Amino acid sequence: MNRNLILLSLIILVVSSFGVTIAQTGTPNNPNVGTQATTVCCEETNSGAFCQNVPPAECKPSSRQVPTSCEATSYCRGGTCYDSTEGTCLDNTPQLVCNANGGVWNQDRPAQCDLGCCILGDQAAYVSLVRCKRLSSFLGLETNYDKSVTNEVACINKVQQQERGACVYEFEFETTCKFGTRAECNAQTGGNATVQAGTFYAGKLCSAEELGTNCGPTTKTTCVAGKDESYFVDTCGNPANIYDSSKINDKAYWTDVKGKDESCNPSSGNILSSSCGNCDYLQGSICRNENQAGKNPTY
Amino acid sequence: MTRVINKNSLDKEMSRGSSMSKNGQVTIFIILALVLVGVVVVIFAFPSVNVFSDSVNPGAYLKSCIEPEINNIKNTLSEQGGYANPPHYTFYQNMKLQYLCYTTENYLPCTVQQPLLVKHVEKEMKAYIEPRAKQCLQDLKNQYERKGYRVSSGASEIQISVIPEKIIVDFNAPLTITKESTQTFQKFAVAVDSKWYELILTAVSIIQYESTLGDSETSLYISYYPNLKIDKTRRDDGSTIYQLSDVTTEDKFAFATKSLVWPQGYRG
Repeated sequence: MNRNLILLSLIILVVSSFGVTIAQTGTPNNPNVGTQATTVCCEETNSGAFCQNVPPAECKPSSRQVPTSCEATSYCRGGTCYDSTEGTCLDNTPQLVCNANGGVWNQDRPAQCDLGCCILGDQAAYVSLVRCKRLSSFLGLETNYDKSVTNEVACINKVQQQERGACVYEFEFETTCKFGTRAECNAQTGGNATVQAGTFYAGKLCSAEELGTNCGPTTKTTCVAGKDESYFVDTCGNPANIYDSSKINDKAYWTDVKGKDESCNPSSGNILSSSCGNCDYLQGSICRNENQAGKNPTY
Repeated sequence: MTRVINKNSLDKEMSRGSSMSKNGQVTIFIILALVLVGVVVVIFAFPSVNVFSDSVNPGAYLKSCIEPEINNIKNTLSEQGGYANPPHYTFYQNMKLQYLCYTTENYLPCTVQQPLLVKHVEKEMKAYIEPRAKQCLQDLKNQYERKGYRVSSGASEIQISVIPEKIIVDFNAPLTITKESTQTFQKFAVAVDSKWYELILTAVSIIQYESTLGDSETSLYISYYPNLKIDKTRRDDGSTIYQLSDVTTEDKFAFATKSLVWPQGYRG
C-alpha cells in the first residue's frame, strides 16, 4: 500500500514538473502557450481611451500605468460621477475622468443620486432632487419632489391621476379661468397682486357656461405637450376636449372634461383625419401643426 | 420730292427720338424698380442694418454676426459626439464619432469617458465662438464710431448655456455709447432655438445604461418622447453608433460606445 502511494506521488510530481516546464519555456512557434498576456491599468491609451486594461505597448508613454487591474488603482477605479449643475449621476466612471471634467466622484452611489418623483405640472420625471430643481426652474415651476416614490411607473401613475379642471379667478376686474391641476390652481395665486385666489372646479372646462367666465368655445385647435391628440382651444387659450368637428356647437362637449375613450373614433389612430383629432402615437398618429402634417381640420 | 423725303426723314427722326425717349423712360423705371427691390431685400435680409436712421440695434447686430458661428460649431459637435477634435473616435459615414463610453475588454460594460457632457459641449462651443464673438463686438464698436458715436468699453467675456429648447450666448461686455445722449449696456444675450439639450441629456441617459448594463433599450425613449428619433447601429467590432435627432427640428447628436463586447466568432 505504502509503495503504491509513493509510486503515485512520484508520477504526479513528474507530470506536474513537465507541465510547469512547458508553461515556462513555451514552444518556438507559440511563446505564450500556458501564460496570460500581461495587461496594465493604463491612464490613457495610444488611441485616447481613458482607464483601460491593455498590454503595456498600447499605453501612451507619458501616461501612468500600473501592472494591475484598473479596479485596484486609486485613479482609475470605477465609481459614481455626480454633475452638481445638471443633477445627473453616471456609474462606472473612473475617478480621474470625473474629476478632470469637473464632476464629484464617489466610490459608492452618493445620497445626491437617490431618485424620487419630480412633478412638473402635468408631467413627471423620476430623477434626483437637484435634477428636479433644475427642471422645475427651466419650466418656471415650484419644485414638487416626492422621494417616497420608489420606481418610474409609480411616478408616472402619480401624475396621470392628478385631478384636472377649471381654475376660476378674478384678473383685472374680470372673471377668467385657467385649465390645469388643483395644485397649479392653488399655486398660481398669491404672488401677483392683481390676481385673486382661484376656485377649482374638478372635471370642468373653462368654457363651461355655468362658471360665468370670459372663456368660450372657438374653432381653433392646438397640440398639448406630452399628449398625442389635437385639442380644441377656448377663447382664453386653454385646451378643451379632443377636436371633433361634429361637436363644435355641442354645449355639453364644451362643459365637462371628456376622456380619450369618450371622444371620436377612440379605437383608431385617425391618421390625417380632418374631422377627428383623437391621435394615438402607438397607432401611427400624433398631433402636429398643419404645416408639418400637411392637412387642416375641417369644420 | 425733296421736301417729301425731308418730311419723311423728319417724321422718322421724330418717331425714333420719341421711341428712344420711351425706351429711356422704361430703362429708368426698371432701374428704379431694381433699386427698390434691392432696398427691400436688404431691409428683410439684414434687419440689423437700419437704412432709415443712423442707429444700430446692438442685439440684432450681434445675433446676425454670431448665429452662423453657433450653427457651424453646433453642426460639427453634433456629428462628432460633442467634440470639435475627437481624441478617441471611430469612423462612421465619414464622421469621426467620439466614444463616450468604452472598453477594450470582452464581456464587460464600458467605462464612461465623458461624464459631464453638457458642460463639455458648452466648453467646446465657447472655445470656438469666443474669438469670433470678440470680433463681432469690435465690429459693433466700429459701426458706432463710424456713425459719430463716442464708444467706451470694458473687458468682455462670453458665456455659453445649452438649456432646454435654446442655446444662449451671453456677452458680458460693458459698452457705453455717447452722441447727443448716452446709452450704457452691461450684457447682450443671443438666443438660438435648439432641441440640443434634450438630445444631449438623452445621450447621457444612454451612456448610463451602457456603462451599467452593457446595452440600452431605445424603444423606451421614443415611447416617452414622440419627437425623438434614435438610430442605433451595432457594428462587428463591438462598437455601437447612436444617432439621435428631433423630428420637428434639424437638431441631431451622434456618438459611439463600445460595451459588452462578444469576441468575434462567438455565437452564444
